[in-house]
Amino acid sequence: MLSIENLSTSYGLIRALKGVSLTAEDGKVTCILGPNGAGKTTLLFTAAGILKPSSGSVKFDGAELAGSSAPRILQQGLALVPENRLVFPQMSVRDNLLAGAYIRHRSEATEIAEDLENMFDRFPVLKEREEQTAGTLSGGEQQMLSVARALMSRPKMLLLDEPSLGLAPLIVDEIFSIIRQMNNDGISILLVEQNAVKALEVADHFYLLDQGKVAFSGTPGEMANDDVIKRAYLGEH
Amino acid sequence: MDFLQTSIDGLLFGSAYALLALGFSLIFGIMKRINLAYGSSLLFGGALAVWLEPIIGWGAVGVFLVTVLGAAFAGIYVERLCFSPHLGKTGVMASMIASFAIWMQLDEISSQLLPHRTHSFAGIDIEAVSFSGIILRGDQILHFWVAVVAIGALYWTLYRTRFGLLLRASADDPDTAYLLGGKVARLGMATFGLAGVLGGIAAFLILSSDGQITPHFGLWSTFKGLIAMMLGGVGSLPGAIVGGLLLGFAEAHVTFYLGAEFRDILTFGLLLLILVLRPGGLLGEAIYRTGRLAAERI
Repeated sequence: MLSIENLSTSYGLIRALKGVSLTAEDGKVTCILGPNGAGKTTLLFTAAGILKPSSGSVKFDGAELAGSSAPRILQQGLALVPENRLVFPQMSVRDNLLAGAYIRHRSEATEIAEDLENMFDRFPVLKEREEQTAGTLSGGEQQMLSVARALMSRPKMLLLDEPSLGLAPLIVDEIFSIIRQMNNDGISILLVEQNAVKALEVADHFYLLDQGKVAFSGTPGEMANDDVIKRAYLGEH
Repeated sequence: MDFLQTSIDGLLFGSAYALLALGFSLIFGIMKRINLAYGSSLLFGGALAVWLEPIIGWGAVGVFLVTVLGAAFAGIYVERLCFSPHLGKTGVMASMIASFAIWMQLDEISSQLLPHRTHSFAGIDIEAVSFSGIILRGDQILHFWVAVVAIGALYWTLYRTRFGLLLRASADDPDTAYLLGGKVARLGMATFGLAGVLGGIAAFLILSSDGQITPHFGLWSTFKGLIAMMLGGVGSLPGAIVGGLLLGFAEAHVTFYLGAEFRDILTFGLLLLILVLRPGGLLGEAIYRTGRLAAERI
């Protein structure tokens, strides 16, 4: 379980997170909604160790991670899939996946090779493009590669930052079915999304982040009945 | 027959140029930076080897080891001083200018180590081989094979090891490489060390072939390495190899048919021609295209 308490992160004088508290349960999909600039990406970056918090705590399975380095946090089983894919464009699909397993010990070489085959089974399109450089893939394929690369570290929880951003509706459907499938396989997921309608299909719990603070917390049912959220995120009147 | 003999001489000598260019290309490909102090770090390795030779003994082997280790050490020194403090977007100019200053410093240190300007450098005596009228100089055959082994070892390191995977990932996107658990902060040192080893090997081959070393060697190898890299395509490893061989080939023919005084003029002419016709260098087109991505990241 990931539990974030009273977390604050600043960029210089600008306080992007102003005491955020939330939890992401094991085996569940937890979704964070919020407008641009609400601090969603800052929250994930702080949890993943890219940014250092100015105060507060990030506990994962009981271990305090606030202020730890990104490699250490990944070793604890918390993997970030960053916004905009960020695959290695000049490396082959296969090498991108192997880079995802970089954190694992050399002695696991056979397990890593097995996981590589598992990824190819799960994402057949990546198998077809195994030797192609990742820069030649389409946006949806790059998103799948980015998710598969994070899975290669065998994480307990995935932090997904706007996986549907800039993708065609059909591809978005595919990405969300992958999210559900990963969750069924036992991986906990903390999802940042702007597409609330799609998020309703997979999430077990919602948080709304606004101007660096948690403005709402509730189940999908509660969220769908909240007037403000309905108007702002679900497009209903 | 003259043409064949000259071509072979040129290509064999060009294999040392290829190693020089690989050092430049490795640094440019991974760090997206030009290291102007590269040639001076090689000069430093060679000068240190000459200076230490009477102390160490071991003949050519000792000279080889000190040249390579000295060049690698100087490379890491340059990285610590000029490159690692300026990693961000604003650091491209700062690191290049800083490397210019260290170029001067390393040249001065090397001059102090070589007080008589021209010193003899341990040569390797290998008998020439001749068959059907073609003569292959022993030291040039050695050039070629050492270059083949060094290039093979470089490719093996980059494409078959965990370290190489991280190095390539970091060349594409250092932030994401860090996110995947790579300790990227020390990769710059490793890159400069590796480039220093390649350059050090090239320096030893060239200097032992000449049988002497002068303080001009630093500037000379910076020029040759940069030109060979630009001919083949900036930041491309196969390009560096092709560029090095092409430079050796062209120089040998110009020297043979027109005379040594035309050599550098035609080298620069060739560079100008290729940069006008193919601005990315011979094999540099892919790099040139994705280079825009890289430029946005700098």
